Amino acid sequence: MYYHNNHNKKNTSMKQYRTIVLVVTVCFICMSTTLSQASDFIWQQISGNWSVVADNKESYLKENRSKAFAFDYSPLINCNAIISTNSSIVFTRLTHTLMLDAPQDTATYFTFFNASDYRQFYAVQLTGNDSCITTLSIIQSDIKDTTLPKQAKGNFIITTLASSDVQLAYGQPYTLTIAIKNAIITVLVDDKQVLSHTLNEKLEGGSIGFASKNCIPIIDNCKVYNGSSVVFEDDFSKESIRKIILKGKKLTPQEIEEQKKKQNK
Amino acid sequence: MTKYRILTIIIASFMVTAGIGCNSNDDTELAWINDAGDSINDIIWANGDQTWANGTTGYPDKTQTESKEVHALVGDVVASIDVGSGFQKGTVIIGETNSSSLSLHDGSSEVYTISSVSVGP
Repeated sequence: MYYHNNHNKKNTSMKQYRTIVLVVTVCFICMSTTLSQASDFIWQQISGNWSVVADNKESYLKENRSKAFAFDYSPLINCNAIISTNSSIVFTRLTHTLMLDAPQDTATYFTFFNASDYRQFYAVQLTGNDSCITTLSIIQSDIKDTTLPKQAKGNFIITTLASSDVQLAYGQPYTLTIAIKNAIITVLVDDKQVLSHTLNEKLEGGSIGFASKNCIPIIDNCKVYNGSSVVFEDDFSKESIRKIILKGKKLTPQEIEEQKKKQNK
Repeated sequence: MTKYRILTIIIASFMVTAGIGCNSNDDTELAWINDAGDSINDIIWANGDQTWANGTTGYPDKTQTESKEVHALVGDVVASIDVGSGFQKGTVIIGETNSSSLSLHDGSSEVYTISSVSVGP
């Protein structure tokens, strides 16, 4: 009898132990899945409609809206832009492939880097007319008046630091490389140097990203090196963009009336 | 010749009647209620057909925008939100259709509520 009772107690505690182990294991799996999903999103969409496109043959990053609306809080929201969630990228070489398509009016594209916020960054910009890309520039964006609140519109200034005439075709992929050594920025297209400029400051790192307006950019194989080590990369083989989503609902006539009454009170 | 004239008059009458029928004086109006929990700074309808902005304060939670006349009857809605690091643009997904595209009835006065803001893929 004693043995039987003791055996039952042992069985019960064994079952409890197993349940605890099972619950802890399930929790651990859930947490690690959530964490791995969170770390998958290495880009944050600021504006536009960016997506990772993948088919059986290839995958790439594409902006689908082309037209951008000027909210005017920053140069990035005025274009269609995405920014890296890693905000402390220090690099000596940034490279990716780029193809611009469907130009309308003045097509503008830039790869930005060293971004401390949406108004403070450096960028390599391409601009073009209807027929081809005509200019490559190194630009700097900064806050115009630091005493104003960030809700102030148009409170930023863009300076062209250096510029070069180019003739690049739409619909053709190029490899864009931005190399930084001390304070010297060098820009290469298909490994050929196009432009070089010495900055007044040594870059301390920040976010990187892409922005476009009046064209459809297709970007692939983004690799960022600091010396010989790769500090950031995306081959756009899987979804990696976080976006802001707002949910909307139509009010019924009854709800509209109730809302009016609320406002009148 | 007389038959031709009568026919012309009939066709012209039809055209005038149809024209009057199409020329409705009712404006289509749209307004928004921010019920998202966060402040929304600008709302843009159909690629800029109409915009709602409220200076630097934006539309705080639980406030309604003014009702404004719109011309486009189909479009999508984007809004700007301060996420801390700066302003980002978000697309409004309509719950009933689970789509970003919104259709308005010509001459109607409609109110939509923005009920949530989230970050997702």
